[in-house]
Amino acid sequence: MAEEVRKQLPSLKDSLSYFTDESASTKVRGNIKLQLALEGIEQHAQNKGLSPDNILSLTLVITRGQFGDSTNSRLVKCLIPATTVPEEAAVRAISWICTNKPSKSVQAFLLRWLVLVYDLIDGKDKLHALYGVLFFFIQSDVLCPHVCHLLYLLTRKQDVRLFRVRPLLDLQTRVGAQPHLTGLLSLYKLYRPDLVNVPLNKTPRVFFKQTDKAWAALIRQVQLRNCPREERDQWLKTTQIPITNIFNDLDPTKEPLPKKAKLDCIPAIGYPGSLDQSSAAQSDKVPVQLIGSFEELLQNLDNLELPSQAAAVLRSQYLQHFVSCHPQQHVAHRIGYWLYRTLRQDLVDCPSASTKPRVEKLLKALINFTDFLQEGVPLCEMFLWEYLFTWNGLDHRPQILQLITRSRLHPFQRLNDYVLEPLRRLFFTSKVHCKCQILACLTELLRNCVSVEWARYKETQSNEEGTSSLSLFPVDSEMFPALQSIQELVLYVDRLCVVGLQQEDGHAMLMHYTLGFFELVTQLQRRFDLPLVHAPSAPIVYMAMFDTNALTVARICAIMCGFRQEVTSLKQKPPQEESCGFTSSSIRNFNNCILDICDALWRCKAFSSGKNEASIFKVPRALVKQTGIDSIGDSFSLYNHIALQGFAHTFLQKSLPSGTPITPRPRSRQSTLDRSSYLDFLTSQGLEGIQGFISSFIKVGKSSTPCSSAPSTASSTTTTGSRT
Amino acid sequence: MAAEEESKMSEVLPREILKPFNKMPVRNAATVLLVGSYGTGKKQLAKSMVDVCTDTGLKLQVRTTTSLPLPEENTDTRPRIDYIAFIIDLTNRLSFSTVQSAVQCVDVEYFLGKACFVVTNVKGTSDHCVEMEEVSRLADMYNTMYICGGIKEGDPDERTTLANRLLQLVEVSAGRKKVSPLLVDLTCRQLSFQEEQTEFYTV
Repeated sequence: MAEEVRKQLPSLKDSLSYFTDESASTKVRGNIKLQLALEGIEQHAQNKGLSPDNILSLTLVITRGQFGDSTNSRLVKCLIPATTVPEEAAVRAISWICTNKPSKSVQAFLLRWLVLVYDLIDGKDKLHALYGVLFFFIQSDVLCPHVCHLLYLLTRKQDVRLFRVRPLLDLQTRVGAQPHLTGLLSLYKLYRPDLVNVPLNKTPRVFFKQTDKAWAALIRQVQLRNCPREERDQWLKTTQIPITNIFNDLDPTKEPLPKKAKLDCIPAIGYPGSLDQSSAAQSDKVPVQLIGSFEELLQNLDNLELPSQAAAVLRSQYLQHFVSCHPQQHVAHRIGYWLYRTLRQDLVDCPSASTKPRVEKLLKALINFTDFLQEGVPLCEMFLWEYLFTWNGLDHRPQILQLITRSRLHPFQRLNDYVLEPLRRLFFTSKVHCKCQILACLTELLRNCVSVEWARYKETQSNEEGTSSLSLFPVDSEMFPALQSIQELVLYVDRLCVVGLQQEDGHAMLMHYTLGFFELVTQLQRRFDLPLVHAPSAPIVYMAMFDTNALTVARICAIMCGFRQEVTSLKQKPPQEESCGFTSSSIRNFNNCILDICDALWRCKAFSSGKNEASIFKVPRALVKQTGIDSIGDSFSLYNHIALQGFAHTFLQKSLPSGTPITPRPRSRQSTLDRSSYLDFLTSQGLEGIQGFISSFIKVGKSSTPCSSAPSTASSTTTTGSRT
Repeated sequence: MAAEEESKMSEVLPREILKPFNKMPVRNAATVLLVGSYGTGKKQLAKSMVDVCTDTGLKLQVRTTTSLPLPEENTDTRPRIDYIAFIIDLTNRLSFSTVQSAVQCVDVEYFLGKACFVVTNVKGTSDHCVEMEEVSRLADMYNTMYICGGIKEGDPDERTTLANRLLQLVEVSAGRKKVSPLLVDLTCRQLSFQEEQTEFYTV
C-alpha cells in the first residue's frame, strides 16, 4: 500500500491547491490526501525548488494558521527557493511570528529558514524597516540564537542605538555570555564603539552555530541545478573574475545583477535601494559601479560607498584599493567572517565534485586579495588550520600552499602543530615534485615572515591599542619571542631538507629548491636587517659539495661566502639584545666545512685531514685507506671534481698547445696563473660561486710557484649579547 | 572507562604479537598488511597499490586482514611484514574499534615509522560516527602519523594518490631508500595540542 502511494504523487499544482483550498481537512492522522500533497511538495521542492510565487502562496498558507504544527514544520522545510525569495514572504513570516500563535518550534523554524535564504531575498528594505520588531524577539530563550544571527546579517550602522544596546547587555548579565549575544554585541561595538563600553575579546571568533548544514546544502544544490546549462558552462570557462565596471557596459541607472552572480559564491556588488539618479543625489556617497577609471577613484576616495555585502570586495580592484586606504574594522570583520563561513561550508562540511571549480575560483580571488594587501586574513588562517587537519594533500594544492605562505608570525609550537606537521606528513609521503612544491612554499613563508610579518609584529608590540597602520586585519597578538620562532622554522626546514634529500637520493630539482631556501637564509641579515644567521647544516653542505651537478657546487660555495659576509656584517653592527645563531659551536661547524671544502678543491687533500677522522661525512681514516683508491686526495680538486671535469676538459683543450694529452698538470707544477685563468673560465660559464669562494677564503701567495696557501676562516669572537 | 575495556579484552599471547624483525627480508620485495574491518575498501586500495607498483621494479605483496592477531596456520609461509596500514572509516564505528584492538597485537617496533593510520571518508562531516579528534588522539598516543584520503568515495585519482603516498612509506620501510623509517619519524617535532581544544564556534 505504501509503495503504491509513493508512485503516484500528485503534481505541484494539485498539492498546492489542496493547501490553498480553505475547506481542506487539517487532520493529520489518516488523512491520505494531506500526506500525498505534502510529499508532492517535498519532492518537487527538493528537486527543482519553488518559484517565488509558489513560495509566497505557501507562506500565506503556513501563516494562515490553519494546519497543525507538524504540517507547518514540514511545509517550512519545503520552502527551498528555485531562484529568489520574495520579500513579501519574509515579511509575512515575521508578522505571523509576532502574533505568537504558532508554537515556539515553528517560529524557530521560520527564523532559521530566513537566515539560510537571507542572501536570496530579493529586496531588503522592508526587512530593514522591521528591524525593531525583530529585535524584540531576543527576549525569548528559544528564538534568541536565531534572531541574533538574523540581526547580525541585517544590522547597519544606523540600527545601532543605545536603547538597543542596553537590553542586550541586560540579557547578557541575566543568561551569561552566550556566543550569539557576544557576536551581536561585538558587531555593535564595531559600528559604534562609543555606545558599547563592555570589553570584548578581540580574537577572531565565529559566533553562530551551524545547525542546518544539510538544509543549507540542499538549498545550494537546488540553486546550482537551476542555472541554465549554457550559463553554467560559460561561467566555468572564465578563469578570471571580471572587474565589474558597469559604467562601461550597462546603463548605471538600472539595477546591476550579473547573471553569473547566482552561481558565483562571491556576492555581486549591490546596494540597498535603487541606483536612480534621484536617490543618488540625496546622499553624497558614490557607489563603486559609477567609477570608471583610476582618476575617478582618486577623486572620490573620500566618499565611496561600500556595498551591502562586504565580501564583494573580492570582485573589484577599486574596492580593494579603497578598503586598504580606509581600513575600517567592521568591514574587515565582515569580510573575514564571510570568507570563513563560505570556505568552511564548501571545503569541510559538504564538498562535492560540482563545487570544486567554484571553490577554486574563490581561492584564487582570495589569493589575489591577500597578495594585494600583502597580508593574510586571520579568520582564513583559522580555517586553513582546520582544513589542514584533514586535508588529503591533493585537493586545491597550489592554492592551499599559496595561502599558507601568508601566515602571520606565531609562536613556533603553534605553527608546528597546525601547519608544519601536516606539511611534513605530505612531504615524506609524496614524490619529488610535490616535495619541491612544499619547499617552495616554505621558502615563500620565510620570505613573507621576514619581509612583512616581522615589521608588523614589531609595530603591534609597540602600539598599545589594536589599531595598526600596517594591516587591515589587526589581531591582538601576545608577546612571544618572534626571532626565536623564525630561527626554529629555519632549523626545521633544514632538517626536513636533509632527510628529504637522502630519501630522494640527491635529486637535482630538490637540491635546487633546497639551495634556493638557503640562499634566502644567507640574506636575512644584510637584506632584511634581521639579526639571524644560519649556515646550512653539514650534511647539506657535503651533499652539495660532492654532487655531480656543477651548478650545485657553485651555489653552495656562494652560500658559504654569503654566510661569512652575514657574520661579518652582524659583528660590525652594535651588539643587540637578541641575535640568533651566532654561537661558538655553530661557527666552529662552519669553519670545519670551509676547511674541508678548501682541502678538497684547492689543496687536493680531500678525505685526508690531519685528524684521525675526516670530517666529511665522518668517514674514519682507516676506512678511507681500506677503499684502496689511490690519490683520493686529488680526486676532488678543481680539475678532477666530477662535476667540473667537463669544464676542465674544455678549458684545457683551449689552453694547452695542440698535440699534448689533455690532462691537468700535477699540483706541484701548476702555477697560480693557470689556476686563476681556469677560475675566470669557470666564471664565464656561470659558476662564479667557486671563484668567489676561493678569493674570500684562500690567501694565495704572490709568487708564481705554488705555496701552501692558508685558508682563512670566520672568527668566532662572541659578542656580548649572543647566546652560547 | 578505559580500564574496564582492557579487562574485557582477552590477553594477547606473546607469540601472537606481530614482530617486524623475526624473519629475513627479501631483496626487491616488500609486504604490506592492511588492517581494517569489512567495507573499508582494503581490496580496492590493495589493487591500486599493486597497479602503481608494477613499473617501479618493486615486487609488492599486499595482505589484508580484518583483525589481529593473525591466524597461526600461515605463520611459516608468511613473509616478513614490512609495513602495516590501519584503515579507519569515519562513517563506520566498527572500523575504529577494530583498529583500537588491533594496535595492541603489534610489536612496538612497528610504531617507529613502519605503520600508519589511513583515514577515509573524511569529507562531509554530516555522516561521521567517529570524530577526527579521536583518531588524532589515537595517532598521537602511538606516535604514528595518519594520512587522510579516499578509497571508495570520490574519483579514482584520490585512490591512486593515496596508494602512491603509502608506497613512499613502504619503500622507506623495505630498505629501498637511503633513509631508515626512524630517521623520517625523527623530523617530527613534539605536538602540544592534544589536551587543549581550541573552541571554534562555527556557523
